[in-house]
This record gives sequence, structure tokens and C-alpha cells, in this order.
Amino acid sequence: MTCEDALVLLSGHLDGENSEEEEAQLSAHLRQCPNCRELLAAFQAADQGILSLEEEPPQTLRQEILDAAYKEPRQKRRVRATRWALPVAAAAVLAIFFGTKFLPMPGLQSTDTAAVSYDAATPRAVAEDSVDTASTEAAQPETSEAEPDFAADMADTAVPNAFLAEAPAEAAQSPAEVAQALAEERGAAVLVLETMDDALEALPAKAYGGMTVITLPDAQALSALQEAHPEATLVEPTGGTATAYLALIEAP
Amino acid sequence: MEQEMALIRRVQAGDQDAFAKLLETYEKSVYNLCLRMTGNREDAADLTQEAFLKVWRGAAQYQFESSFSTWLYRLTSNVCIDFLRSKKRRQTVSLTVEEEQDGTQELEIPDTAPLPEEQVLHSETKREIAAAMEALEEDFRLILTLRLVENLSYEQIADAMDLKVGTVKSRLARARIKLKNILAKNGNIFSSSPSNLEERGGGA
Repeated sequence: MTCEDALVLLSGHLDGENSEEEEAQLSAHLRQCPNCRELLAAFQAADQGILSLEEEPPQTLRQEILDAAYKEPRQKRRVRATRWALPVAAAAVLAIFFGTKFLPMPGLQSTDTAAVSYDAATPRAVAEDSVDTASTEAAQPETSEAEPDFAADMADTAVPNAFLAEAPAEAAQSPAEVAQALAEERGAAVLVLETMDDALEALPAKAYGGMTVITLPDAQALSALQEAHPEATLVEPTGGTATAYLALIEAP
Repeated sequence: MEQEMALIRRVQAGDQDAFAKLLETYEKSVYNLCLRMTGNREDAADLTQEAFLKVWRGAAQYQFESSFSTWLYRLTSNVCIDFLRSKKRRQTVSLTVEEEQDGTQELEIPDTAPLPEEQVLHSETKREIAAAMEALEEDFRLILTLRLVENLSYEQIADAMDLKVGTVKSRLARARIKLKNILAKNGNIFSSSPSNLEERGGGA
């Protein structure tokens, strides 16, 4: 066995992942190769060095994470696009139009929090500052829907699109907002990724406000992408099952 | 494992206590993964929070197809990689194409280091190791961390990083070699003689 071949086995030995045969080959080589014996010792020392760097997380981190999580409205499987899309002004108009049925609407007051909770890159400091009037909603551990089903009500009363369309768009749309818009406009399930996945390079892509929208061939492609990116947010259309499948990349 | 599955189902249903328990179990290992990848505690804490918030928000997307820890480490690895890419700290060389296209990847044989006289690790040594880790390419840094700090098997690493087990094995060897070369270059406790450390090409 050459020293080059032995290198992989040295590493495998340290990880306890060599087969019996590989261990035997390695032992035989080490018996007559002082260089590789020293290399093994050096690897061992470096491994120990890396392990010695392990630290306890800062004591305050645990509570900070819990506080940030519980501030968010608990995300249900289906995201209500109307929760984000309607600022308070438009909601007030609708409330007057349809009477008191839709008042109060905790979800509509939480646009700030909505932006915070969907922005995956929000640093800790910002999360702490945001005020969430819907925090009481988040404290529901039940599996059943506790909040008023605004979207379903909206669908039933067939609100003209003009009301929704006139909601002034944010100056810079967040990926979450874009994803919701796509989900609603195209009846698509949208997976939001922060960076490009190489597997998507061959697929048809369109620029969309500083981001990229990629058309996926089918639901399986979306599932596979989701498997590879558990950190990605999935936005589904509120109306029903998705008939299109998209990936939204937060980069041009 | 079954207890953990029950816990995750509760998290999926929005149970805050269950989430707190999950956090308790995994906070330290997620934090240390982020710490090794970013090299600083502030960023590590931010990314740890980001990862767990994604777990809280997106728990419904965990389909129980892989083990939860694998899903969590994959999620955390991606959060770290995305962070590093967007910070553009290093040019990342994609190793996968090289390794899988060319099975005859040559491993450089580094200068051998004399055995260190003491194995006690002083703070300067720890700083050296930490700096050496930061100087490693991200893919090497990630795989060494998953293997040593998170104590994942090759199989689990293959799953989390979407690699073949053979690639995991060879990449770990190359990562260890590269790390050793970086350490030797800086002339520290891991090599008592100043080394002329240019990587030799080819094997013996």
C-alpha cells in the first residue's frame, strides 16, 4: 500500500469507519512506515484540537430564541396571502363595506411582524424590537384552526380583485411577499430559497424584482428540492391545491 | 427515536413546550456547528436563532423521511453556507465536481510533523486551530465539523450533505490533510520545525 492510499485509511481509522480488511491493510502499512505513523498522530492532535473548541452557547440565547419564536404567529401549513397583502387601510375599507364581521382582525395588524417572521435573514436585534399584537394567537397549541378564517370568508363574499389590487405594494417587496403574490396569481406552490441550487440551472428562469423565479416541472421536483433545503419556506396558494410549482431565489 | 418523533409532531402542531425541549436537546450542537462555520460567537448565535426559527416555522415540512437530526443539520448547514456566500468571505471552490468526475484525485502527502511534546491545549493552540479551521474551504470546514463536533457517521454526513459515502470518506481525508498543512505552515505546536510547506504533488 502506498502512503497515498494509506491517507484515506488513516482518516477512516480515526472515524472508526474502516472495514476489517482496511484496518488490517492499514496496520500492516503503519508497522513499516514511520511517516504515516507520525501523520496519524498529527491528525489525532488536530482532531482533538477541533473538539477542544466546543463551547457552551451564550446563556441568554435559549430564551432569546424562544421569545422570538413565540412572537411569531404560528405558521400554518397554508399561508393566508391576504394576511400579508392587505395593509390596515384597505382592511378598514373592507370592514366598513362588510360590517363588523371582520373586526377585530389581529392578523391584519401584524404586518410588521409578518415581515420579520418571513425574512429568514433577520438578525436577532430586529426580532427583539418588533411588536406583535397577534402574539396571543401564537400561544395556541391546538391543532385546529383557532383564528377566524378570513381568507375563506373573503372567497365566499367574492371581494372584487380591485380591493386587493389597490393595496399599495411595499417599496421593496420581501421574498415572502413575492412568494405570496406568485402563489395567488398562479395557483402555485412556491419554495423560497436564499441562494441558487445548481440543480435548477437548466430550468426556465425569469427575473422578478431583483429575484429569480424558476418553473419546476412537477410536484416531485418541488418535493426533492424541499428535501434538499429544509431551511426553505414553502408558500402554498390559499385557494386550493397547487397546479404549478415554482422556486423563488433571493438573488438576480 | 420514537419519543423524538412524538415531540416533533407536537412541534408541528404548534406546541411551544415541545419546541423548547427540542431546543434544549440540539441548541449546543447547532451553535457549535455555526461557530465553526462562521468563526465568531455573534454570528454563531444569530445563525443558531435563524436555524431554530426555521424549524419552528417550517416544522410541518419535515416529512420524517430522514432522521430529525439529519434534517436539522442539513437545514443548519444550508443556513451557514447561505450566510457565508452572501457575506462573500471566501471564494468557495466546489469540490463535488472534481471529486466525482475524477476518481483519481491525488492526495498530497504533507510534511510529517514530529509528535508534539505535550497534548495539553493552551489557549494559543486553540486559537491556532480555530484560525486554521477558518482558513479551510467551507466544504472542508463543514464536513470536519459534522464529523467531529456533531459526531455524525459517514452515512449521516452523506445524508445531510447529499453526497455519496465514498465522497465523504475521501473528502474528510483531504480536509484533514489541508488542515494539517495550514497548521504546519504557521509553525505551531503541531510542528516544531519551520516547515517548507508547499504541498507536494503526487504520491509515493
